[in-house]
Amino acid sequence: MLMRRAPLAFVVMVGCLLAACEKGAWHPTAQDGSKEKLKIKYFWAPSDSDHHYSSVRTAIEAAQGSDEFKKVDPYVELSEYKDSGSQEDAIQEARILRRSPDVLAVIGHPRSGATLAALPFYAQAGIPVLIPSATSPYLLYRHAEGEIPDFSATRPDLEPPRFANAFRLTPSDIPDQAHALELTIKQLGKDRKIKTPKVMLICDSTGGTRSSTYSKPMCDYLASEAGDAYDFAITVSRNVDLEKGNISGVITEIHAEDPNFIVLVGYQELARALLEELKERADRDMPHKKIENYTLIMPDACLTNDLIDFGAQVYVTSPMNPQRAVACTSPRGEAYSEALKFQRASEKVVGIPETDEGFVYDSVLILAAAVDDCNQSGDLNRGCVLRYLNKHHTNLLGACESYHIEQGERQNAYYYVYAQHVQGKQREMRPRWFTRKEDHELYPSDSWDQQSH
Amino acid sequence: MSSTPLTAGTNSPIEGTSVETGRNLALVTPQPGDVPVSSSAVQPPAAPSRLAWVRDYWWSGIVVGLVAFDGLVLLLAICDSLRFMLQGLSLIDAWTFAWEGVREGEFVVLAITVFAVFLIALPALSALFLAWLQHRKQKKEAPPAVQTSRTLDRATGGPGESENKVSPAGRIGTVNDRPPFLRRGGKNVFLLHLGLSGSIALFTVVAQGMETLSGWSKSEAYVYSFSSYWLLIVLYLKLAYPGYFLPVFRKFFVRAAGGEHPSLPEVVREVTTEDGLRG
Repeated sequence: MLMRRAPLAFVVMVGCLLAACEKGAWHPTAQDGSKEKLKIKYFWAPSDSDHHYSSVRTAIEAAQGSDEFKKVDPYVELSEYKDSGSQEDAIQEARILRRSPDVLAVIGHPRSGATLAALPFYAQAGIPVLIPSATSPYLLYRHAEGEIPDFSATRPDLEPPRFANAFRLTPSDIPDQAHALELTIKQLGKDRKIKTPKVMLICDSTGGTRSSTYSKPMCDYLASEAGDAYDFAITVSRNVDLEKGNISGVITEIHAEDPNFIVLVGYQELARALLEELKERADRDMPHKKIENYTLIMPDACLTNDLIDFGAQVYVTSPMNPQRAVACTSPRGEAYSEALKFQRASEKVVGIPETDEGFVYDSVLILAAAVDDCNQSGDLNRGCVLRYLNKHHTNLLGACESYHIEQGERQNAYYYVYAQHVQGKQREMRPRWFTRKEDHELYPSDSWDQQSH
Repeated sequence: MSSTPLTAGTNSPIEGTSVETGRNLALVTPQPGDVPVSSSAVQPPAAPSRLAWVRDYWWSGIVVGLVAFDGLVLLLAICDSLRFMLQGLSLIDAWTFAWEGVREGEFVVLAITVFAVFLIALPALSALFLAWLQHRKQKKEAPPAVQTSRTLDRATGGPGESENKVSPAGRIGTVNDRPPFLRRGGKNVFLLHLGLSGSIALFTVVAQGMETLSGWSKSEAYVYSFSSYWLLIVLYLKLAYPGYFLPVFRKFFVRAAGGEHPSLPEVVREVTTEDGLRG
């Protein structure tokens, strides 16, 4: 009898299939609207120093206690994500976040290589990304997975299209950081009365694009600005892959060339390996040339505080977050300073300040303002947060300063040049000069109050 | 598929060009998919095998209107795609994302279900609809012929009812009786429907990807920022199944298994009345 109704059985069977199919992990439904919170994911990198880890965590904890975040706490939560720094892991993490509909925004990643790999996936899902510490100029340009965008610092008219969802609070290396490096070379040459300083340029290519995403643009920029007709000459330029290359060979070249300055563009792993080898070889092979006689100029990604104890003369360029540089008297700035007072005292920070701390803190404040605005309009989602960021891009308020961002890039940034200061057995990094991208010289840091306004 | 001959020795109910079904005569015009007609009208009618019967019933539902329905759904798909792009998101990214999901086994079940609905259930439903139309027409033409009508409605063919055995195609009426969109399609219409059904199943995959990529939006509750109209219809039917269709089917089959001869409209009326629903 039943088979005589077989056509209807087909309908029933298909209906059963329809009823049986559940939404999968890629298309989830909110279980309980009253308990769910949208998530702001932030990244910290265990491969970096403990100081970096604690500074990001401290900034997040401090920001969670701020009045701005408390206002939106019922709707959003800050959720941490461990970032190994490798591009493969970053892609994996970004894929997971892309298919997580509860992710409202992302703060991260710490390193340029990882950010470059992850950004296309966030763009696919329209997830707003605030970048507090990755500085490669490549990052904001659209590119295919695993590729470096076709970017030319000298031909802005050939720029590929940019990601519309990425906003960088720290300034780009090109031209800001590279310009600060160039000015430092010229300033030191002038101070030491060297007509055309000889520079050895060492570029980190460890892990291919993982490191060269960060180092290559600055190396290219410096190479284009150097020459006999200029104020310095690059006599040797080397790409060093820490996992494949021979550091000892680089040290041999340094001894042979005897450059006035070594410009090291890369990450701290390479800087540590180079300084260790330099110190060992100087002590063993060249007793007449001590490590104190070498002058290294680096961007801030190279240096952790412990590296200054090797004894070389070190100059470090670093984007300055004025929270550290100026007295911040606004209520939100005072709250920030108060929250971090214990942290600073307990860590006895003697090196360059961790700028990530301030940028991460400000990222949370900016996103909290966006969430509050969207929530009041009754439409809290990624699109609304993006619209808020685009609408207020010239004046995004952090704890002590406002960020002027055009096409995703920070416009109103300052740079400090830190120099090693020795007092007895105590070594520490202190700001010596500062500059902006439109300046053609370095200003003494003690003239900050006059020059910066 | 359309012209597979019946198994030898079966009692075909449609041998000859006309079949007497009780007091009514239903003219059977050979169509693609119909059981081939034999000229040996003198032989006793052979019953179709169950599989062939189902196949013929299903094939009789392949009508031009299915393609029109597919077209409507695809228009909805285009509308969804445009709405998605207006949110500032890329359709290509949604395709890429959906394809990655498929490779990990996501989005597939619903797509297969939709494909099955379009390929199996819709022709079956349209055949059912055609049978109902024919039944209604016959009732109008011959009001006293209650017994015959019931026989037709029950799709008879069991023991002791061989005189009423009629192929589904035969019971549905002639081409000329039908509205244009219910006219039977041939192989080409079937292939077109197959292709369009595949496209719709594919779009079902992409629609899920589009929703996921858009993320949640918080208003009164958490919902996807982009909500696909097509997926809304599919998932609404999914929700309607246990609440509405399942009780109807259950009651219908329980009665059928108990030897009764329930009429589907009656069961629907009973269920909706019991549950306070208005179908």
